[in-house]
Amino acid sequence: MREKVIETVRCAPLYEDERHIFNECVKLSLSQDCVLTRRLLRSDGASFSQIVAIDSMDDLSDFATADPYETRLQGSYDHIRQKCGAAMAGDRPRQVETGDPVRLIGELSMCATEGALLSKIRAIIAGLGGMQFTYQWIRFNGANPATGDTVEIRYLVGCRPSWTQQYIARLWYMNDPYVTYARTNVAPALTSHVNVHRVDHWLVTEARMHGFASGIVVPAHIHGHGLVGLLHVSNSIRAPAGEDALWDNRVLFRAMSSELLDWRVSQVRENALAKYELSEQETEILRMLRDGASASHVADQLGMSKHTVYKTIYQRITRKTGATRITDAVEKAAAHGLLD
Amino acid sequence: MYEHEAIDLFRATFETLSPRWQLSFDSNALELSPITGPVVAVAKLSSEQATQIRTLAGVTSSVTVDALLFERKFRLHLVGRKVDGNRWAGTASPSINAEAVAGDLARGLSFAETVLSEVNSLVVILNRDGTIQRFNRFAEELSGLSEAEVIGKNAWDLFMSDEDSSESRQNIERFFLRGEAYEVERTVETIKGPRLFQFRNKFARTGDRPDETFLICSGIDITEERRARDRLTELANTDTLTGLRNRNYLMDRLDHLIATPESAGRLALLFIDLDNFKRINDSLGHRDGDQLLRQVAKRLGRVAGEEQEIIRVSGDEFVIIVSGDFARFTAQELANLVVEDFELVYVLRANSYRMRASIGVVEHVKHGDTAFDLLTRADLAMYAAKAVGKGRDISACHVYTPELSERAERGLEFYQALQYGFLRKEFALDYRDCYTVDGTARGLLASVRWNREAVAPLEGRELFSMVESSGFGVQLGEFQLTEACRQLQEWRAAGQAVQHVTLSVPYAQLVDGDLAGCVSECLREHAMEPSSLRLIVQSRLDQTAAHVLDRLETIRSTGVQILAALTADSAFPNLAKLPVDGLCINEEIVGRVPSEPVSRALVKGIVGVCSEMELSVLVHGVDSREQFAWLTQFPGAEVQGRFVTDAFSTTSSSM
Repeated sequence: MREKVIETVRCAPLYEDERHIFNECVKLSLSQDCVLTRRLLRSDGASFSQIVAIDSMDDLSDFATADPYETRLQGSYDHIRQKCGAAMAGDRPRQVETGDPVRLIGELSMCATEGALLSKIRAIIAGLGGMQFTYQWIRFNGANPATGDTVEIRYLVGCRPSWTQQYIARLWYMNDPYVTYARTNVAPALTSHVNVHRVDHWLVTEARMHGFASGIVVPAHIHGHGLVGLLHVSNSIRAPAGEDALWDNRVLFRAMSSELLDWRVSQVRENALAKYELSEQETEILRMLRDGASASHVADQLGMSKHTVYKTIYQRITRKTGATRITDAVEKAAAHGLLD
Repeated sequence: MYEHEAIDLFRATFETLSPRWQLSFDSNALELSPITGPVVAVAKLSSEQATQIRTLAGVTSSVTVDALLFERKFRLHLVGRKVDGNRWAGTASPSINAEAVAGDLARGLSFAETVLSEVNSLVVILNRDGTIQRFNRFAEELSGLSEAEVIGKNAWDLFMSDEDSSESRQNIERFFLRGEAYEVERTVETIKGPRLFQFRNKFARTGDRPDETFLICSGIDITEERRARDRLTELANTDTLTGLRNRNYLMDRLDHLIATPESAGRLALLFIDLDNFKRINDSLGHRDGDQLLRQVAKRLGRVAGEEQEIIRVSGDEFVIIVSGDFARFTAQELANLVVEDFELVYVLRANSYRMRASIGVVEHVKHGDTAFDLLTRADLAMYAAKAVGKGRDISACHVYTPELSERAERGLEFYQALQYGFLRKEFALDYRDCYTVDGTARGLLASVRWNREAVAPLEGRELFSMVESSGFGVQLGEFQLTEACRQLQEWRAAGQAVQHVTLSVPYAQLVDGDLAGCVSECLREHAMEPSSLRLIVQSRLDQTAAHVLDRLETIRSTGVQILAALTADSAFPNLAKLPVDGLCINEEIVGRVPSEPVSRALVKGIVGVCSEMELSVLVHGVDSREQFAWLTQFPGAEVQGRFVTDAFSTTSSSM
């Protein structure tokens, strides 16, 4: 587990650039294994990241030309093109993973980077009758995904990259029936069943124009986290044949969706641990507070005065977490999964 | 005595005084044999000696070794070379026999001479003055002269043009001084005509004095190769249809031109787009279209003159590169000339065609700008010119100003602002009452308004067209429907009787926005009957695809009313074919009644046709008493506008 964090820190990106475009900020970064991350930071603080594996120059130019800010990001994309070209000319084409989907799903938790995840997911999806996929980690403000506003989404892109570009640029996530479904459901569902009232929903039509004909959506939740995982797998085979092929594998898709959500949670926790450097005892205190303990409980438990708890321990915790009050620290730690 | 014995011994053993020797890479035994025949004697060498022999390469040379042969010590002169990957061989002579050694060397030398003669490239050896020393067979064949004839003569006088030869002389003089090898390309006069040769020239020194240095020129004929390369370059840079340069050339050329800081202010571009070519081409057929393009190319060439380069960038786009002092003014002048030239018709098989062009002019002002930047600006200027000529059937030109780039930027900024409009829910609906001419309330007209932070609100057709061009038409449409239905439900729950709400539908929502799905969902969610909604569809319905009209019919069949909007510039629709319940006359037409007779007649006609066909009519923008008074002659019409609202709202019970 520790190794994973170290790993992500160690791999310096091949290229990184940040551009401000009016009120927004776009950050492009290319990893050593040619995985491109485009992070859009909206002026209200919400962020949208697309994680795309660049296998060929075509992938890159599809992604770049679909970018609404292409005219502003041209320079960055040119640099990325050069870096990718050099990286691809130098060595082997990307290894195509193969193998038993069940085994591969089991290996997801061992992936060190999102790039590694992407390549494993691709192999799994291909083995389970899917042609395209997206996986999104959606973070809501507040612990209840049914009511909160979206504050962060990360998309693992396993479909035409132009789709996610358009999806984010046009705010389609605000209208996406599958996201609405995922907020309150955990069961896998065929996309045609999610849309019973509006079979011809324009977003479905748009998606079909990107090759999403039949599909299955598989949400995953973790209690107490405002974090939802949503796997969307599709193929270009018309229903019912296309749907049957996917539905038969729903249990495996469900396992995969949960694994991916867990991966993210542990990633966030690792990063938070490294960032806040809370001690075992401090974490324990936060846990007690979350469960309703008062300062006197804490003092009793630790065999020290209430004064010490307030003046020393609480202050140390708030300083480390950058919170203003101890209740904020509890919330923050809980949101990062440090108290599970 | 000793010498005789040795000679006899050699003769007896090898039948010659110069036996063959050979040494392999893995043994230090020097094997000796007759000229033909098996090995008959072996001399064991020290490993230093063997190594020395193994340093011999492909050039015949000699090595002297002392070795034991026939249990005697001999000094052997070995002449030979490496003969294959792991063997060295040649002839060996005992030192006692000078004649044999000389013979061995002569054989080696004659072999080298043969190679020089027969090698399949031109070899000429010159001294410092250019006097020919050697002239190989290839050279003889090329020049038609024999070696004997040319030796001692001057190579430059014989084979080179004056220009080439003086350059060549200097070249060689320079290199003689430094003694370096060099490569050079020269055209040589041959009996087959002039041919291009690539020479690799190297200096060889035979003695210690400077005049014993010679220049070995060896050349290969690259005439065909170069010709093929030139042809390829030519092809890659030429537009085969018009014979003009193509885009590939343009990019290379611009990169080259703007590379120097001096080019700023001395380079300008004309970007010419043929406005109506596509239409002509579609109606004429592509062969005639091609003809026309060729004529355009020719005429542009005539206008631009010799010194400017013309490039066909794509289908009907041309670029003229203007360089030199005052490039900007030259370019503007040229643009005007081109515009003038397009005034003259093009004639194809006795038919005349009026071509129209839009021309963008841009000057290269700042060093560091790329060719791409320049073309982008030229393109923007061209679009500005297009806007000038639009609808007026004229050719126009426009000079680039930074303001054009800013405007393009503003499009992006607007797109972003619009996003936030949706995110922050800055859109709101305004409701206005509709009445019949006798003052009965007939529902509400909802129109969307965007309340932007720190900017004046945007509404009406202006908002619609900007939202649509930014790609948010569907979302705006869905917002309107949901919001209107929610509001209506709320009012009704509060006991207010509102007959129906009328909304304008964005074109995108109608065409690919699943309007039917959205309408039925909204109605269901807010528990409303379909007759509570009236939708106004904009734009030219008779030009809309059949399947879109089918969908409209589906919505209509549920009971939702559809009205078609008529604007001042829309053609009168074929009402028999359209799935609509009524027409909507906009404020532009209404604004001209009752003063203008044509508009009066138009409104009268529309209302008349509608009442004949039992279609409803909604008249927008009734802002004055005169307008209203005139409209009261149509008892079936509904009216909406400032005047109507003021007149009836106090007496109305709808709100």
